[in-house]
Amino acid sequence: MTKIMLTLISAVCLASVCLAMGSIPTTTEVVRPTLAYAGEFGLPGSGDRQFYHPQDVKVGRTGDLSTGLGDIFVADSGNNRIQRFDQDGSYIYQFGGFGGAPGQFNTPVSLAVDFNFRLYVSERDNDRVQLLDIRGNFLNWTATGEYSGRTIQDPAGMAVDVLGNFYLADSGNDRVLKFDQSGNFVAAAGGFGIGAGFLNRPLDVAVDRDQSFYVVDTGNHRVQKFDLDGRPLFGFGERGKGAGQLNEPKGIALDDRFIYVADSDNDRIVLFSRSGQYILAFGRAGAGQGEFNNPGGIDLDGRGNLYIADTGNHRIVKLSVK
Amino acid sequence: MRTCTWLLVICCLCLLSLSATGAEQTFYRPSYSLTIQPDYPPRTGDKIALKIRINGPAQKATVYTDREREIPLRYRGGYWLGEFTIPADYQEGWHFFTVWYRYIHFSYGRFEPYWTKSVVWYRVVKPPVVTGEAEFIPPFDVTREEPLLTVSGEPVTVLTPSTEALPFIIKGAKTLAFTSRSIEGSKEGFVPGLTREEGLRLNIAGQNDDLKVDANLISTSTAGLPTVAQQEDKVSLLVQQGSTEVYLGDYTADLTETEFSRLDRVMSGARFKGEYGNYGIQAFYSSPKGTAKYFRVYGDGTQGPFQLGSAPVAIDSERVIVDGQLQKRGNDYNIDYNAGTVTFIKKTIDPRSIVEAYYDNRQNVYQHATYGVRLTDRPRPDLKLGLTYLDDSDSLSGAADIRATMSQEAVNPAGHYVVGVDGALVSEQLTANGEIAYSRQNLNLFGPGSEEAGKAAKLEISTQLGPFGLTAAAKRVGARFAPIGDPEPKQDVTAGGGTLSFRPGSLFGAQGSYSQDKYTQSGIVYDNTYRAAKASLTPERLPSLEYNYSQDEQSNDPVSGATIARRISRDSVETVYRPGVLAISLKGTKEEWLVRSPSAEATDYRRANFGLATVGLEKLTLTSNVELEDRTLPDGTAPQRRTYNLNLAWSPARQYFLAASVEHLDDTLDGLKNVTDMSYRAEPSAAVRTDGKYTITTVNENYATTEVVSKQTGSFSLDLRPVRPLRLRYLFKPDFTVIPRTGTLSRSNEQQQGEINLLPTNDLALGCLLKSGRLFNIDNFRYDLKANTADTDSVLYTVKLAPLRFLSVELNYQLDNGRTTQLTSAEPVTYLPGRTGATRFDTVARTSLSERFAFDARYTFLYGTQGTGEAADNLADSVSHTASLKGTWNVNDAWSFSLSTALSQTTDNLAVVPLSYAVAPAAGFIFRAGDRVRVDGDLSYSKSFQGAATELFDLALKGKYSLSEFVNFTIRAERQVSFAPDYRLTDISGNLEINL
Repeated sequence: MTKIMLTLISAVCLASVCLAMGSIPTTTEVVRPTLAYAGEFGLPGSGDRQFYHPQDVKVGRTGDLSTGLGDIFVADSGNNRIQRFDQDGSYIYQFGGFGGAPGQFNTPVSLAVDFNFRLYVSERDNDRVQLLDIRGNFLNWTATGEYSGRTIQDPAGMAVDVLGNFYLADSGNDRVLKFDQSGNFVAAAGGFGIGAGFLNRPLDVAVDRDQSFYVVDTGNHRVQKFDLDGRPLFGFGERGKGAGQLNEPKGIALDDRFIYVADSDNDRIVLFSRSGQYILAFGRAGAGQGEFNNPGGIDLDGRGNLYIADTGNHRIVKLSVK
Repeated sequence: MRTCTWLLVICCLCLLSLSATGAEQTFYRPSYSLTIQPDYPPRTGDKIALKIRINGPAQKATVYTDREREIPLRYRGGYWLGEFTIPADYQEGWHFFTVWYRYIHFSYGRFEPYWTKSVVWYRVVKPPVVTGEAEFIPPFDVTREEPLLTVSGEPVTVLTPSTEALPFIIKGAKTLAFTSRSIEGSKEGFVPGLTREEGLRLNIAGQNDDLKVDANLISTSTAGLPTVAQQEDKVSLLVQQGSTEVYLGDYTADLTETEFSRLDRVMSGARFKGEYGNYGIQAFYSSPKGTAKYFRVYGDGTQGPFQLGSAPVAIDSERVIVDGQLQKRGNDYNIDYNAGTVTFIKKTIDPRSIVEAYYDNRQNVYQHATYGVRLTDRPRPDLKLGLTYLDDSDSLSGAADIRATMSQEAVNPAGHYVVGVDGALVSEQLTANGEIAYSRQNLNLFGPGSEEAGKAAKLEISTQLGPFGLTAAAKRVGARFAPIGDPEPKQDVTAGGGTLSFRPGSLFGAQGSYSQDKYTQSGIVYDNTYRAAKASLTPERLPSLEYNYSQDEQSNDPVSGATIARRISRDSVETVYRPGVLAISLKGTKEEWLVRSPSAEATDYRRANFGLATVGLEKLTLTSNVELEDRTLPDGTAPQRRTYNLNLAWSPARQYFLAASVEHLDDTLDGLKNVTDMSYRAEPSAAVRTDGKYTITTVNENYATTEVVSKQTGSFSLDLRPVRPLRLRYLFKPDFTVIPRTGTLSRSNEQQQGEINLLPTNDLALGCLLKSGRLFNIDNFRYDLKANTADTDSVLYTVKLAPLRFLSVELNYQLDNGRTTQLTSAEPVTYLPGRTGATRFDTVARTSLSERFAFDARYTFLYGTQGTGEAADNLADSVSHTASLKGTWNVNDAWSFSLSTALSQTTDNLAVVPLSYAVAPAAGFIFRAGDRVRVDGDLSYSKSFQGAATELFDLALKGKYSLSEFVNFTIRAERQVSFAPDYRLTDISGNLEINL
């Protein structure tokens, strides 16, 4: 029975793949994007479902349904732990604790979830990245020590592409590192500077499905896009509070249509088109609904929701994207 | 006299409630009320306001329509408020809201959020045909409500996959990789041979007109040396057109509408569903993944693992239940399918809790098939009728041969079917569900006389007559009735009971229920009786009062089946008061467990619980709970448990934040546990920012004796920006364990960090970073001895320059120093000291790859030592210099050329031949033809000496062809010619990627 189905599905897949040969057909569409407050969870503290300066949030977007598709992982930085929640924000479990041993953390600032539901955790004050299973069991050191002549310093945001390649914003060294899915170092891009292709304290990275990647160039108050060789393609943003301006951005997320940036020091989320055109800004300073206090890491689920680590308010905020 | 008074009061309340007239309608439930405004019944197209008042201190409330659309709610003035427009295409008649609300419950020493779900039915009418403009009646004080927080941007043009050209969206990746490696001569670590790896993750989903397809395929296989060949496949296909749905793959047969002809096992096969007017059909055919098994056990105070009894367990087949609550895999528990064990994640399972698991044991003796069909009809909107047939039988094909091979404990092929008829009537006054079923089992398909047949029937009715509510249920199951997929069914069941409730309005409600249940399971006769009563008084602005009583009589232990004649009685009184922004609750509970067989044993629990919480405040959040529990155990001892919790957070302004939480748990049996947590943040000006956190946990730890220890961990950080270009940061993280009895530290892991950064302009950064760490642990048997220590210090000086937009220069100078000691002998006390040291200088100059000519130059100096005992460098003492230069010429978009060289020299003062070196010049090119073709070529030569000379040429060519944006083919060929040692190797690898 399984063989018959396998053959059947393979035939459908092959036919579909053949249909997809050549450039994928695209169409232009005029949309009026909307961000709307859709909920939040978390209180300050160290108990279950409480946070202290959470700096990143990631959603399991691919993988086996039974292993937590759509579950939310939070880097609870001040409590040196990771907490896992289901799609409704219900607490599932936590792991970590302060320290330098495998499975322990010293200021975990960012997360990445790959399609095997393994977690990459970058620790700013241990200067390393750990690879853990979904329960927090240590699997391997992924980015620890020296690469391309420099020791990793203050590692920050991370991303995993469709092939499992892993990208790390090595913020202390003003660069982005790329590793293959086995953890082998592949290349570095960036370096301190202000011109195109240079970075100043990059704090997050997001990767497109063609392996080009977007870097939140925090110190230069902008976002830059690089191709897979690390050559700069374009950038957008400049210091300020106005439309299209950024002030110490700290998080980035992508979908097929837009780029979402956590404009941290302006306490807002800014939406750009994929070509870098400013579209809208959501939020203001505060602790109420639709207000933020130094938002950090952000991520999208597959159902049109944007999750934001509202670091200064010790909570996770959910916006719906329409 | 007292009865007459009560009757009089009740009659007055009834009259009051009946005489109350108004446009709105309130639906009362035991723990909340839902009001529909402004008019009831609402009309299709009307915008209605929902107003929910929850009697307890709920944290969150959510309402969904019967189309599963969420209605956003806001909390204002003690109510949860929302708005909903009745869809114009709603049928006239009854519809429902699903109301969820969450409250914090204190259980087993911790706060846990609980969700409660219930359904409120309401009626919708069609609007009358009117002429002219309808008058709009505002719902309730809408002007005081904040608008929903939504921001829309200007219309923008985006590129999206064209649904017209390609209705199906394909996601996933197909990878096919091979390597072919050969060698003449020998090279250490090189394994020649062929390998192949294939992987496919594919999802095809889309819609064309009304045809919807969703297909998934996961397939992986590996072969070749040194890997053992492996393959794993998983497929599914869903085709949906209108209300017709066909599914192939793994699925759950969720025939759960009935009790006797239900099936919710995980299957592998085909499923069909369809809705055609009033008629519905479900059919499936599958091979189950194994034999149905059942497991039941009491908790043991741990999280497990619990051995299910039969292994391996069929993947996805299990349903795990704790105290009647279905658990979710990954959230509540993990399962080891091969070992057949379940381990709970969130909490330990109390010894009084019952763990049940239904699962399939992955072993079928004979070929087996399960199939079934369910037909439904709705002759009237309020009436639903159903007919179900299920068959779960072994196949006789080849069964005789299989049977003949069995030498011991022969298993015969069996057949089993169930046919059932059911009906449900839902109306405003009456809800009724009825069901009858017939089952037939043949325990040996080879011979006659082994057939068993049984019948089952049940009826449940529920009605509401003004303030009175009545539910009644009766069930009779024959001694030989066997439902499908239940290895241990309850048979010879005689059950009945009912509930009578009275709720005349929002003020008062009362309810009494009784049920009796007698059945046989696994040869044991169980006879259980349950009685319960409840009364609540919920005045609008005064404290509510609720009394609950229940008595549960059980003839046998529900897990072991032993005769226990147990009676569990519970009495509780709870009051909740919400003055303004506070919610206060007080609850007293008395619980008695009396076991009368084989000997009388009584366990009493007396609990008092006080809770206090703020509701709806943004600047101040408070949650507190006190629970006092006294137990009287059968042995006469009376242990006590005292639990105190307090969480407080205060943020008077955005710049300031203060939080504290205290948890104190004192159990005379289990010991003491304290957790105190404090944190703050302050940003009095743009130039100063500080935050900190401190946690103290008191627990028991094992040393020479069991010690009460205080584990303390914290962090303190201070950021200063006295002037804009200058940034100072200090970080201190203490982390230690104190033994209060001795007043000494048993462990310390302290870290400090200081940073000074000067950024006079955007293109210049000067930095200094100091880090230090202090670590020690004591010997667990000698409290005064340190078992080991490790101290590290590090300082890094950095200069970063960007004199031109395309040029960057960085200089770093770093000093590391480490000292360790390791206890080698306690009598006499001796330590083995150790030292490490490193001095490092590196500089980098580079230009951007966006330039026509780009370069990247580096130089690194490293001096490293490591010593043990008295020596500082007897393990390592070396100096190295490394320099590299790479130049890139980006001729145009198609061509890039590069030249590079790297030189390194190391002097190892401890080696026999101290000097080693390496030189490695290289040249390469990249050719790109648009986004489709890319060729990389690299030629390198390297020569090195490290005790012996090596010399080799390496030529590598890599080609990548992108058939489309998502289909890539890569081939790589490498040829190494080594003169010292002498070998020649060829390494060819290919990779096909389809990324969708």
